Amino acid sequence: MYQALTDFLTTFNVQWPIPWALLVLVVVAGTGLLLYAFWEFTLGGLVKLFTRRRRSTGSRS
Amino acid sequence: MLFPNADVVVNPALLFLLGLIVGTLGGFFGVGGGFLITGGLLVFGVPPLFAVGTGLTLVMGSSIINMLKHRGMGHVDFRLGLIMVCGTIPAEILAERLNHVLDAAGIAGPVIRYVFIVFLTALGSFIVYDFFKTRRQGGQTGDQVSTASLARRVQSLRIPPHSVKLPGFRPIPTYVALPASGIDRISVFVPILVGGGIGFLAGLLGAGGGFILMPLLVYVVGVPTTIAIGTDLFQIIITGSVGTFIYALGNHVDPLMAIIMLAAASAGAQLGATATHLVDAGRIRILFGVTVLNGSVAIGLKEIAIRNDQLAYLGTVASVLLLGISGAIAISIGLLLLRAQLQARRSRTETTPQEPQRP
Repeated sequence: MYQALTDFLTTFNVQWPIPWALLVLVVVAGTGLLLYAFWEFTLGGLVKLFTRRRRSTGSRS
Repeated sequence: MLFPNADVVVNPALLFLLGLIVGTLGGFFGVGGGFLITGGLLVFGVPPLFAVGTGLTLVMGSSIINMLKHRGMGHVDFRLGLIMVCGTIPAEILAERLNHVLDAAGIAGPVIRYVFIVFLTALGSFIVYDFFKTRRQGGQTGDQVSTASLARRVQSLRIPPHSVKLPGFRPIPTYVALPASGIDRISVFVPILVGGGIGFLAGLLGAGGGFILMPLLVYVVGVPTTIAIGTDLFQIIITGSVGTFIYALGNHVDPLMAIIMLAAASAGAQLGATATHLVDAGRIRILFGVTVLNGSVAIGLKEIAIRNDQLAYLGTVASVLLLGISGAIAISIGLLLLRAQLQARRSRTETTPQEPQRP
């Protein structure tokens, strides 16, 4: 798997420079969007969890 | 770990650390951190062209995350950003041509370094001076800057032509309102000129230009600090994308390295962007001023190392200084955020109204 990825990374850019440059742009921008979505989902979930817990503690006291 | 495109072995933990620092500073200051990434990668032994190309790729990726985070908090003025782009792209192309001319004359390297040193020193010194001057005058800094009258004058500039006539259309006025930035009316030529200047410097210096644009928007155009940060990031996505494409065409980008750093930068971005929401704008500016001054010292040391073979070790000292102080600033951002959170919690507890007693 790692060897196949290495081969792809080292040969594709030599054969197809423009598609390679576009691929780099798309992959990095796509990873950025995915990471943003991941953090929003994770942190948003944590905030909701803490708010609910605080409310339930408040109503008990 | 071997990175096949750059053909270099680098410890991924170091890349992760660098990405974390860059993400935190990028989210907090609204800069891409190109000068920091390139310096760090050079210390890790990455070849110079790959350091610049991979750095620009990371700048683009982390700016997307930071910009989206700031957009969620209402910190991005898209209208201002799009107007500035009209000046940025042609100026960037023009500067790259000039770079080729300077390169042919064999003076590109020193010219770029001297321009960097002059700009960073002037900018950093001014920001630090402004912070202390405003604090002496009023005590509280916030969005208050010493150049408020200059910004008002810039906003009221009347630059001809006052309208543009297109065949078959009614005359289109060349003045716009920027409600997100709190500007009622400004000539479109002002942001176009600002974007042009930034694009020219970005093309000449091979950086995103964020470190100049953010203070320019705050001190000259009169945009609030948090909005300047978000809009600056929007602009960096465009300049970073153009740079990434050009460097990837020449096979000077290692995408694997960029993605590892981007994963760490995304975590740092959450910290940095959230901190802008809670930390006083004056504090953001003073920390930015210190970061910029640190950058100018590091580049100055590198210039000395290049000119004098006996002082070649100063090149490593410069990179370590750049990373060390930037890391310390990233930690202090985390501490400021923690302090602001604790203060907010304390004030919430104090202002919670007591429940009325039942008769």
